[in-house]
Amino acid sequence: MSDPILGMSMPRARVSRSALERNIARALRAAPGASIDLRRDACGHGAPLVAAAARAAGVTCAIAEEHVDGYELVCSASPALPLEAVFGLEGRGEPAMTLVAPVLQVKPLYAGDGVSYGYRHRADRDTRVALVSGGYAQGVARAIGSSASVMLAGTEAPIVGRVAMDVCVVDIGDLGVEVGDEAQFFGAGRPEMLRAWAHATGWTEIELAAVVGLRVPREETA
Amino acid sequence: MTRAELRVDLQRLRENVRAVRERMAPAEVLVVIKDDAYAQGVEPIVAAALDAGAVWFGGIDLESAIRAKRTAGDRARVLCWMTLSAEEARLGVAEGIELGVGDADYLERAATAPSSATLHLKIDTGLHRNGVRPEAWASFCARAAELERAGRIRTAGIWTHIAEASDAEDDASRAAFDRAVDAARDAGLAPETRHLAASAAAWHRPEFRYDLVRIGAFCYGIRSEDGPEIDGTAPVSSLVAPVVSVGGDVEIAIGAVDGFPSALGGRVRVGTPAGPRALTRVEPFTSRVEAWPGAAIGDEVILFGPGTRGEPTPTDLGEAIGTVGEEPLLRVSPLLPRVYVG
Repeated sequence: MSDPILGMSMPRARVSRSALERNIARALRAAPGASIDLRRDACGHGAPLVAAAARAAGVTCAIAEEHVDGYELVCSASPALPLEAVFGLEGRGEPAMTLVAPVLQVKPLYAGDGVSYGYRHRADRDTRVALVSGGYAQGVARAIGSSASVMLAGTEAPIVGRVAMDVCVVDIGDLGVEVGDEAQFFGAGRPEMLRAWAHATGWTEIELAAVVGLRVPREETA
Repeated sequence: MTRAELRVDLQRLRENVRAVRERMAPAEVLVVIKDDAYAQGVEPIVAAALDAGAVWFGGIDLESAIRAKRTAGDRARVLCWMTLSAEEARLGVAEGIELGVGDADYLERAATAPSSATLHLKIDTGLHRNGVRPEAWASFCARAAELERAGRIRTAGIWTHIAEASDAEDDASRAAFDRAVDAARDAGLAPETRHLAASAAAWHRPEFRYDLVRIGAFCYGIRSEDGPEIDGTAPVSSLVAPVVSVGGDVEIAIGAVDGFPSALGGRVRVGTPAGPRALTRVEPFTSRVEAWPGAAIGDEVILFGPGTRGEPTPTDLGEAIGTVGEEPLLRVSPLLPRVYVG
């Protein structure tokens, strides 16, 4: 089903072509002649887009599971550009993928109220919370609850309580947040956000980004 | 075999659904099919659950709900509990989906569908996710009654989610739920389906079952984190990867970007033809397993499954890295084929 209406309440991953091009050009200077690794749909970033960005940056060969237009498959002896450098992870380059999700609901939370499964979080003061789309079914790792933040209204706002399968709860205090506003989980301009996910889970940034990119609707940006 | 796959045993699913339905009777069971039936494929899962007698399906995302309804047709009712946009709500109603509504603004959006929307109104009994707070519930019900008299909606159910934090806190949530049902009736609504409990509370506490229970995990054979095995059920899905090279250790064709968490390396044993062996390392595209005599390319290694071949269950994996069994299942890459047996 490709009906665009279906995706309105879901998180989405934006992949920046220009960030990919800059990352790949930089990585290529350090490893001239290296190939681009397009396996697993370019780690969830979209193989056609990553292939095009690599071509623009001067890469001439690829490691791929299927034939990609304009590439010859290289033998395994040929080194690939490091995944982290290509996708802007682990402090290398700039994040190519940005995960955003709509605010579904805004409501008050009073001092002493628990939040989400197991009541792992309790409000220590009267506040407001936003229900944000995105949970571990979309690759938002369950362990980041009460550990990481999202960007909302230009401010970092903490995820409180357990991340559920499809939603999480964000403490927004007095921020001017409305239903339909977009929360940023990680990505453009904020490499530290995915680093916080890696810290909370003990997983790598590449697998965290890849599973998100494979799970949610993806769109290309400049 | 040459690539990893998620192998889904539909006969096991039928047996699980029958066991759950038997345990919950006379309450009905809504089989939760959110997120592509926990990443196992809505259509085959719904078809098999129908065989086992299921008459309700539901989930949060509209896409899974619509696919379930198209599969089940008139044989089952389907509930979607995402807080949807007006456009999505109209699409859902047109597809015959019932909507779970826990927000005053969403009630207005749901009432804009051309045909009358069938709704399940949600009270927040402490989870503080979605759901209408108790102090706003009376006016919410009054507005629903008004929309019902105008023919815009019909209130079929009242429901909530509970936190499963402790029995005492769940009891408090249940009392709040009972008050909300009374208040809805006082407002002139006539909900015939009350539902509150998901897998664990429904299984262990009969007084939480009411008319309908919403069961996902136990239908798929996923026990609770640190919880007991569930009689009559076992994991439906097995994650299986072939051996691609054999040296000092064995390399298998599944890695962290396939959704197999890297933190599992060094923490679990997996099922090999020679029995359980240590998973030593998970790399982006492949993983390493302790060697066994006679290991050969193409041999199958089982990363999770029902536990009958030396492999951990999804919940065993989750517990090894501090999460629930659902997360390792739902992370399995959609690029890996789902293969149906049984």
